[in-house]
Amino acid sequence: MYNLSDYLHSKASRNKVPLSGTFELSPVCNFACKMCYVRRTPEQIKNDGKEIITWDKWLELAKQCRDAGTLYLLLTGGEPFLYPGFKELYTELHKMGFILYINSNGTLIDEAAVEWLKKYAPGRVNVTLYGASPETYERICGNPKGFELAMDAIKMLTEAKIPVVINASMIPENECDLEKIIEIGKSLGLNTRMSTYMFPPMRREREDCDSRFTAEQSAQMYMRKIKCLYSKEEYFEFLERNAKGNTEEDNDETWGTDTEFMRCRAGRSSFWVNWEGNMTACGMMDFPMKTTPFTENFCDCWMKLTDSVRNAHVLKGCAGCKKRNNCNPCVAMIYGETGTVDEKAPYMCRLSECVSEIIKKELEELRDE
Amino acid sequence: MKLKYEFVVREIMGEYVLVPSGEAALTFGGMITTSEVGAFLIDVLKDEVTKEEMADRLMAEYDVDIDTANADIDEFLSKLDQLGIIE
Repeated sequence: MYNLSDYLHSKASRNKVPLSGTFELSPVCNFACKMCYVRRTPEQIKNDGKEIITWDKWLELAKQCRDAGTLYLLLTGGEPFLYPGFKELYTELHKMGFILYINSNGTLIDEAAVEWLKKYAPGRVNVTLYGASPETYERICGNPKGFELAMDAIKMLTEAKIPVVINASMIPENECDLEKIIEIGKSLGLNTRMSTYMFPPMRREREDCDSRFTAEQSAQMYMRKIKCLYSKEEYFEFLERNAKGNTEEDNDETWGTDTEFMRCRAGRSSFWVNWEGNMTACGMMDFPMKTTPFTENFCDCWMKLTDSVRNAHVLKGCAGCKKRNNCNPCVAMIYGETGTVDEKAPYMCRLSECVSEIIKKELEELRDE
Repeated sequence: MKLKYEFVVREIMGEYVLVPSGEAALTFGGMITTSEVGAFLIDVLKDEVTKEEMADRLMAEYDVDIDTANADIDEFLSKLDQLGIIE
């Protein structure tokens, strides 16, 4: 059944309305995570001859977005609570009638911040947990105190009845904490959105952030996540459903075409503006184009972008693949893996194969029980 | 009577969306969609008004008779009451 958000997104996609957007305010963060795709220090920004866009300019852009029909706005970074003028910008956006979401590592959300957020309650705060212990935080973020601070923030926000979701990105350095992170979410009655796939470095140098699993490891992590999130009955149903999917696809010789388009909301009803002022369909790729809404009219930029997305053929490399339904390829992932949208990505193929193998094996074992 | 919470009315793709504002966003989760007339009445209900005053404002804005205005207002207020957003 459709909820209001789904309904509005569906209508927005049909009418080319930019219903939801992301403002990536800054790449500056108080953490130095190995896998981060965006982080820059103020010194690096200065040395690159770039500068942070001031909050009053984001506000001007937001006015254009509002007039174009944007309702949902995600504020992300870097760490948004470090962004100069974040409070002022957020408050103004709230008054304008946006439904606001915040991505944060939680470490700067103290009692005063929670009291302020209560007055201008967001739709949700997504707090990222990088691990389940100070030791893991030290390994990944370089800040062992981060764990306690993030947990305090999650608890304070939850007690204040501000909606919270726990985000988690799994890499080799925190794989030992996968179950613990999910348990933290369950114990607090919160949803945990965990990614076990990590994009290859695209927006930074490879040597800065090459911490990710092999395809085989990523498949194992994915299945560990499913097993932990689901009850035993739900897990069995998941295995049966996906195992059945495999068999059906193997028999479908007509699966896939060479005239695919992007099917998600990216560029159809949603957009991303990065800290350098470039607007793209998706935050993880600049395909099929980027526009510059700080120097051109937002509506013109959006129409160019959405028309470009609607005319861009993608996933030619996956056409006819018998495993495609189980793989459910994301164009940004293919782009990240291969640098194009037309080639088959060996990492994704292997990941999909491994997941199928684990599902088959797990199902056999459970049936034997 | 008046609204218990603050709302920002957004017109998006012909839908009138009531977005809770201030602390209301915390107390009243979610959004409400309404018609153009509903959005007008929500605006009227931002200040303390009587039902008679609402009817006068509705008739001044839309070319309807008193019976139609009263019937529409009764139906709308009943919905708002069910949602618990008027006092």
